[in-house]
Amino acid sequence: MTGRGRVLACVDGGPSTGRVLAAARVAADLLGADLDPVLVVEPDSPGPPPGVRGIEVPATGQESVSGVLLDLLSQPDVILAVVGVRATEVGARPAGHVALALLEGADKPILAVPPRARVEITGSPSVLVPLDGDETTASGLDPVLRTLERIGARTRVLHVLVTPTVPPMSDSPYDLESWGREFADRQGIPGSEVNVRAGDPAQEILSAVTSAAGEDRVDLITIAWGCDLSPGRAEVVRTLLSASPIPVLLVPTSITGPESSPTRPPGAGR
Amino acid sequence: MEERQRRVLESLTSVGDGLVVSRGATEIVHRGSRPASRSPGLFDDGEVPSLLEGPVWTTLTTTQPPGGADEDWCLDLYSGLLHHRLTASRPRKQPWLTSTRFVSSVRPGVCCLRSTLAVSPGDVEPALALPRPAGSHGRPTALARLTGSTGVVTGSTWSRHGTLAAAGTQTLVPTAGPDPGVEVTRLVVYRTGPTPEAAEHRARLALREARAIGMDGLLDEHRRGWRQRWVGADVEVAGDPDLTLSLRFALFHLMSGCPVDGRRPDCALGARGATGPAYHGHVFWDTDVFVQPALAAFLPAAARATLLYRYNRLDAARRIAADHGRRGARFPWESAADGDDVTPRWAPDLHGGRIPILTGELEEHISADVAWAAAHYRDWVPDEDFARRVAPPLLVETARYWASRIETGEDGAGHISHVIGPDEYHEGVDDNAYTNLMVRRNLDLGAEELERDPRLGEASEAEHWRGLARTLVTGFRPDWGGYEQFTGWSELQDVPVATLGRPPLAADLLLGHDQTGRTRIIKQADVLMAHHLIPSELEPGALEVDIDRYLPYTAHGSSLSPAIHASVLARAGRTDTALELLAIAARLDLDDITGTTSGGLHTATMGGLLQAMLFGFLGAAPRGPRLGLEPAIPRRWREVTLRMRFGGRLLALTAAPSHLRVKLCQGEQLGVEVGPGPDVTATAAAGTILRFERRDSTWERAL
Repeated sequence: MTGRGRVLACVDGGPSTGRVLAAARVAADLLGADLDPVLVVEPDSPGPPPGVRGIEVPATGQESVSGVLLDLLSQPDVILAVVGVRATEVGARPAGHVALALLEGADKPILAVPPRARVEITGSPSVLVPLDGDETTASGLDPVLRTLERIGARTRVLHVLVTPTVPPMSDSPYDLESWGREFADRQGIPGSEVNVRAGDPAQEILSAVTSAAGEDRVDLITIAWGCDLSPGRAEVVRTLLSASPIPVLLVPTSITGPESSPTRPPGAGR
Repeated sequence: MEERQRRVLESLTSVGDGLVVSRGATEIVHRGSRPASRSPGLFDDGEVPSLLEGPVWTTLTTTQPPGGADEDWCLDLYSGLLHHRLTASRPRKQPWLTSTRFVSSVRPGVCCLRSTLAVSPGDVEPALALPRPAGSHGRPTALARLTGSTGVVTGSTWSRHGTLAAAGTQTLVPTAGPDPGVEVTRLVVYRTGPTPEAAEHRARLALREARAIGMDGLLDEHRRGWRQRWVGADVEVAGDPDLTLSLRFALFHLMSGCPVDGRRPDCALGARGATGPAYHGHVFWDTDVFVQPALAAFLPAAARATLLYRYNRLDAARRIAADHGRRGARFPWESAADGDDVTPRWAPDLHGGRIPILTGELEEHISADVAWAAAHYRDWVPDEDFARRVAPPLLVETARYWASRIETGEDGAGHISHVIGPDEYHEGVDDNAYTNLMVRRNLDLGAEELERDPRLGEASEAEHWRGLARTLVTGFRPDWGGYEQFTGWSELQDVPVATLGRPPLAADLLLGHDQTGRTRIIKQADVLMAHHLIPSELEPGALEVDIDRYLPYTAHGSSLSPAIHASVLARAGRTDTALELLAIAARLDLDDITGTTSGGLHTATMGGLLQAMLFGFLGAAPRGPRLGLEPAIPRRWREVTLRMRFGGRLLALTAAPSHLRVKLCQGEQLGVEVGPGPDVTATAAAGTILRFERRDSTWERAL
């Protein structure tokens, strides 16, 4: 214990272990935190990589593994947990049952490392922040965004227009620049680069990541969500967990349904 | 005030005088705030030039009210005063900041602020701060400096186009009582100049004069100045106070944003004026055909300044024409300081790629719009110098451009191919009716000038232009009794806009750019814009036909659209629909309908709104030296009163559904024609009131 805060890297010795540890190490370095591996030990698991020591959580214990992990995560000095999510078809469960329980039960940010995610970062991280226009959801991102700002991360806001958020007027092709700037301001992310797109939100997010290269590359997706992966919910998060080529930072909000999340983008004030 | 409204309110409560316009941000530093002061017409050196942001004079402290604050903002339109009151919630609910500020209505660039706030004198910032780096939006930070001595702080920002400098001073007086508190009186004067040294020197001299008058004296003369402004320009709709407020709001910002006294002879208000960064302060056709006609009626000196902006950039327009292999002058779609085309060439599309912006290359009608604006001002304002010196080259050089642009087809008719009309959903179209009709008018106006003054060109050239005007295709379809917007419009996919939703809606964002272009859906008034600007040029009876044809396809996806539609619908007697669209224009910024008011106020909408009242509901138009009036006042309005100018006279027009009064408040006698023809005429003498009554559908003189 150093008093610097801890990043938990939850691994089980499976194929994602190396990427999860690597991502957790990067996160801990950026945050100035200690890395704390948590090893989920199953009877037939290959065990941790050589040289990796940490808290061992036996899968055969009396308590559920996810319960233990959530307890660990709730400790005050833990600021982030990193988990691997496995490759599954979109629509099926996007993560193993332990990871799923952690994702849905956490009240702190979880960094999810998808199956083919690139985890190395050179220089300041570049973060893509997809926003759906719900200001209340966006406000849940605020502490994370402040942290990202503190560590020198470059944030880029992405909004995919859906019918309720399409501005009623657009005077010129570059009017969206002004609209997007105000959109980001109202979401509490002033001064960010803003991209406005149309189409399927998840695919547009993935496209924004894969098409970015060089100085425009994106290292991390940060997205707020309602911690509910039951069928028909969180389609965007579901797709990202399955197909994102970079880690996804999931930030839980207290928002669970549209009735508690009034959407009011710029121009919807009539 | 809701936090989301902060930047919108900052635009809405901007105060200025045509030399400097300051956003209405409160006096405390706030993360979501965008305080800025800009000078209309002074640009930075960015790749896409933007209005230069000058030193900020409105920030008093970085200290925050404990526990946050309730904020009340009040813009007094009558006196040009902006009041803020912040009430802290801890340790008890109590006033934390009260302030009153103004930009003098009689002394250009003189800015005054008096405030009481609950901080120690040491927590009050110096009189000036420099703008924050603008790099976050991709623009280079302006060069800037801030110095202070003997109680005067001087600051400036500059570019190769000039400097915006300010000199400021303030007095701090601790307030009585146990809690810390201070009364601040701040005086700041802005000046422009070729160099920082020159501009700062001017600012310091003007500050000395202002200090000698003192805050109370400055406030008194400022109030008197605004009172005078409202005597010369006002609109009131009895029975509709909300609409009256919107109309006066529009007038207020035109008077605040323009040089009303002609002291800046060359100044055109950009698409958002100087109230925000959107559109970079660029000048579009908005200035010529939306803002300028309203200015001609309410602020003639500012209308003149708008046209001098064009006149002084004729050489640049000539270069642009030559670059396109043409003669004469072609005005750029977007321009800034020097009159070159500054239209961005591309914008991000909605799929991560780039979309070319073709307006700079193809939206050529702006040259005919400039000519129309010059003729309109000449007909509306008795300005001999303008008529003799300024209008002729504007009319002739633009006509000369069109003469070299028109192609004669195998059918023997004149054609203008590959353009964008006001409806920007359709690019690269042939024979856009609006463009061609405006060009026809431009050619005739140019020919008139040539015939009047042989020094401007050969008589044969005038004859040639007259011939081109006669053969130019206008899109009139005898089988319709109206105009086809461009060749082939009627063959496009028949998609009424109602299938997408209820206008206003941005059809191009809903359907995609390419698909929208394959439909008949139009963005804004196009053929109807021609009906609005040049009604006498169009075939009798076509207005009704064209309204019926185009309204079902009009998305009003542009802020320019609703007011113009309201105007033509009123003229057509369809006042119910006119009022629906007028309401959109009236509330466009006040309700932030576009979601972009934070980036500045929509000046063209404000101009269009006033035009709708003047040209639509009152049916005002010059008829030679006489003023023509043909009111179409909705039943739900009791009366409409406009105080405006025509022919150098100050008039008060009061119209109701069944009567009309014309009072000549100032100036020599004026002839007035009421109704469609010259049958009902009268001459008003100074101080007299002419009365007219409507019986059935005709007007007659009343005693």
